[in-house]
Amino acid sequence: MSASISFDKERNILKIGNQPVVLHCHHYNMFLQQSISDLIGDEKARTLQISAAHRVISRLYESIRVNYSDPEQILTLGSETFKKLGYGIIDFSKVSASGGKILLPMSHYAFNWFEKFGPAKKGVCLFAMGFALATMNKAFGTSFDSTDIRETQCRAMNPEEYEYCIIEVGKNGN
Amino acid sequence: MAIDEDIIIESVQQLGLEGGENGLILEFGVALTYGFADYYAELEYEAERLFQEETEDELVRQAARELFIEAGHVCGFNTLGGIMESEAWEAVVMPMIEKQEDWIRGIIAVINALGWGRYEIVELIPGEKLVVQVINSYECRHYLEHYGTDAESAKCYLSLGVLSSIMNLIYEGKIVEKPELTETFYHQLFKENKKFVARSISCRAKGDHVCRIEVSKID
Ligand SMILES: [Zn+2]
Repeated sequence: MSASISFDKERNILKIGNQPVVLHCHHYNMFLQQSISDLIGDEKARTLQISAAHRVISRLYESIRVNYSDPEQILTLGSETFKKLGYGIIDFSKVSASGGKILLPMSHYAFNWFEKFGPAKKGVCLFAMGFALATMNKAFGTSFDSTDIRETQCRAMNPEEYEYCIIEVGKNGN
Repeated sequence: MAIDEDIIIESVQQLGLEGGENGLILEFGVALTYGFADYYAELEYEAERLFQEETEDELVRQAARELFIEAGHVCGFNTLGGIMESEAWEAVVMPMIEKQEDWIRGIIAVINALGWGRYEIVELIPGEKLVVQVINSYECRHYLEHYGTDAESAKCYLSLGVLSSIMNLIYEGKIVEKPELTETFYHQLFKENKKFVARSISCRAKGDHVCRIEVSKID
């Protein structure tokens, strides 16, 4: 189950749900993410990217027909959409309404960051964090915010050692 | 046979670009994502706004804008370069190409399948100049919605970077010979021997009714 991507031939716009999407490559994605940090510093850049991702994904869920009383359905919708759009594999099987660990055995950002720039100093899966947060909030009717989420392990830092990226959601990441 | 944009767009759609088993879209030598238009645009303009709070110096502010335009070079070089060297290009676009400038018409047709908005060639002088109007660019649409129409400078950063990269790739980078798209080649083409630059003629974010970009040779 995932939302379908449609093409508006008149205006040359791609959409998923009500959200316009654009095809971009990993070189652009990595370069842009690095540039945002260069311009406004790491901390502000992280907050901006997580919250911007949270906003677009929340709006996406508002526009897709799904049984919102079943958290399972929304988590499945989330991981299948994430995969379809090319962001990798995100596994919500270890989360509940009080939070928990989200695993990413494959992450577009982590994989390509390491390929392009070498080992990262911090986690780079900022879009995935905002995506995960919006999905959890929708699934459980919670209001976790970006202070409740951390990437405690990112494959971009050491892909040999880490099998997954791990995103933890809960009060202060607990 | 001239470039047929409808056929090209249809062919891109028939590729059925979607994350595979591992959730990645590996195509044209790159990993693609369907990025959210308003995500990218918010990053650009909010980062620019926050950056501008730190400095009044117009030269420094311009350097920030140049960074976003460079992101467009990176995108054009890797994605569009990768597409022009792909088997799909060989199969679908090459048979339509009669002269060198058809490469430009062909790649603009591909762009029109990527969701970036509608790119239309207004003027093309082979090897010299390219003028394109961009209708409904996702950058400027977002800018208008969130910041209004009195931008101090053009906001179509991606389009500026991408359009100059097309001219540089085709006329300077000799993409027809399928060079390897390495970091070194990127630096040669966009840092050391850059021959084409883009400038904004009009921009919706500045209150104009269309975004228009001219790419011309550096004297
Ligand atoms: Zn990661």
